[in-house]
Amino acid sequence: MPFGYNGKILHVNLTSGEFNVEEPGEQWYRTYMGGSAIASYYLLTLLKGGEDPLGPDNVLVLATSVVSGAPISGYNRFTAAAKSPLTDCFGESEAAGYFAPELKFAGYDAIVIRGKAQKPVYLTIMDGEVALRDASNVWGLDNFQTLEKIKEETGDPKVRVASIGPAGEKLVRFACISNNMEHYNGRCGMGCVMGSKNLKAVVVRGTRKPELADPDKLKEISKWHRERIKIHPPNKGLSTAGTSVLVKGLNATGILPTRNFSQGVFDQHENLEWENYEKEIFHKAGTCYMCSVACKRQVKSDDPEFPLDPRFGGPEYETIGSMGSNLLNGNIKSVARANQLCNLAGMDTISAGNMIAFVMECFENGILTKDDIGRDMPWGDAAGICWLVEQMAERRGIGDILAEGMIRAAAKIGKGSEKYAFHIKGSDLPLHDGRGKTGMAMGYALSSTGADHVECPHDVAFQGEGYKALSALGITEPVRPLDTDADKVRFFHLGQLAWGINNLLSICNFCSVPIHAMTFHNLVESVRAITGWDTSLFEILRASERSLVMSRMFNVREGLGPEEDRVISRWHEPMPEGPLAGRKIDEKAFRQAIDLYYEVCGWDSNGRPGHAKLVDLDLEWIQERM
Amino acid sequence: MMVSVKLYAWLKQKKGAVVTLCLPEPSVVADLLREMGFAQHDVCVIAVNGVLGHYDTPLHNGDKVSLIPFICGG
Repeated sequence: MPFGYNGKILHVNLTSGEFNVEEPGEQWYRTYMGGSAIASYYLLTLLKGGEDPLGPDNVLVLATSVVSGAPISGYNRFTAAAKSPLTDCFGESEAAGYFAPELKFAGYDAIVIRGKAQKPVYLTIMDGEVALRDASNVWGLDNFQTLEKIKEETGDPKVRVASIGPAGEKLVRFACISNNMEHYNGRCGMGCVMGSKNLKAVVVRGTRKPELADPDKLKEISKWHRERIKIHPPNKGLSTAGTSVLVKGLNATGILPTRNFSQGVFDQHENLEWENYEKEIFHKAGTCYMCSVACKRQVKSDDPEFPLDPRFGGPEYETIGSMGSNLLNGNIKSVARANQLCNLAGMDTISAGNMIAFVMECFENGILTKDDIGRDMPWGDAAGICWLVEQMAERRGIGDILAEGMIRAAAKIGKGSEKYAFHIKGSDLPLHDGRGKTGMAMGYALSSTGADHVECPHDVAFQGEGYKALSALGITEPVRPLDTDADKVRFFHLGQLAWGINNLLSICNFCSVPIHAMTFHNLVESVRAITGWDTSLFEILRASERSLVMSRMFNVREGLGPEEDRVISRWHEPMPEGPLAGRKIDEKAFRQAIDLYYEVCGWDSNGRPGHAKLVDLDLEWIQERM
Repeated sequence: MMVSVKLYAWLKQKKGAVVTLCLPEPSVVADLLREMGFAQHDVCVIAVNGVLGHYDTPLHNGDKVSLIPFICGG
């Protein structure tokens, strides 16, 4: 009997309606551990490459980890992964909340979903009992209505529901998965994959917590962690202001994405900062399973133009950037309303906001007209933003084109619109500007999922004495945020593996290493206490690298080459104003940094992990699946 | 007591790269932030004499404090 996990993976074939349970054994769990690595394992073994992401052959994996559900802040996330309909390459998205612990308590560590149901269904897992239920009563409903209806149909108000809304049903390529209307697997179109499988929801309920190897030790670490969260500066910031805390610092540093990533300062930034957020729309804070950070926000407003219901979620920083500054929208109520419309329909707010920025810049330059769009769409049109969100969610008018994602929409519109369609590997951009943090820019360029802001810890925090948070990794000098030299490559490589631990073990970045309250030492101690394994930071970092290499190999199999490891053209242009005026990422130096990174990783000059690296990581089996 | 404060990124733009402050005894980092007009959530990393600290870290005459702002992302 394992400690901390169930030792069971549930396989669901929606075409045949069959279930089976795989019990891979401790060696397999110790090799892959959880989240991103378990997901990558199944995407590599069950897909052959070249599949249609919206076809029945695609595989959707919902994976927790060996430590998910343990009683300590942040050990509550799960990975949703599939071949992405947005990027046609590796797709992965994490969500926190309560779903992952509940799935563990229901008896499974991960769910692997194949095929396509003949008609809409939802999957229920209740204390080990698995069933597919008719979803005809919930198909067409938004995420909130779906949640309420499923509670009613199952007769259990405590079920945890991972669902799609109308956007997922209509195959909006950036549709997300909603978890009880509070937490979202936002990126890469995982909700679209569910829609393509006629899978409306996955419903879990469990009461059997996996036994821990050393509960007293974990209790001691959890208590220490909780106390540290109260005083550790970045956690205090998140507890106070949620992720909106970032707006002020990013704008003041000149890297708040503004006007479709063309600028780094926004003259209405104060309207989007926490102080105004709190005054105008804040209702109360929310949290995730066992977490004392409580960075979530609920919002409320009776404004007839932008009504806000606290049950439908409050905007995080990324949404404030995507629906706010990047659209020159200084109306926080409009930002929050657009967020709620996305949540109800089940669309990623980052992608939806990026598509609107694209439309606004096309409108400004005469590529799209009022007739094309259905209304004028100038920068900062607070009401127009919400209108366009609904058009996309319903695939109405131009929304039908935009719902295809950045590459396909720009190709369809043509007329030079590609110039304003910013994406990396097909994924539109989270709201950060690489001109002010080049390590993060490397993360955007190199992530297997396309532009990704959580691929590597952002450079800025590790300048000055901040580097000491990384001393356990052997980084002994301050990081210089604007450089693209060998030191930056070393920082990025180690930082990527370190932050990869959080996706590997399904731990929230806001509770974990390297910047938040957890230390590397106590993270390892917690894994030992939960699993009973005689593990180490070395072993966990190796598993993180294994996960990275597996997702990279997935993309190699799909035909991606080194030319895809790039940033957007706009970041090679000088920042027009603000504290970083004139600053750009030198294209040649950045390419050299990427090439050096391949070498540091032990990959070939095309960025492909070779035989020796696969042997090193016990991944030789991948060669037979290429 | 006199404390020397080194500031990074936008904190530096607002107050200068290095600032010397006179604080009453006893004081902690939170007092220093208040004196400088920064909110606690403006700051991501605090170091006192080269050791990572927090808001309640006590300050003494001659201490060297580093403040790095909250602009990480997530």
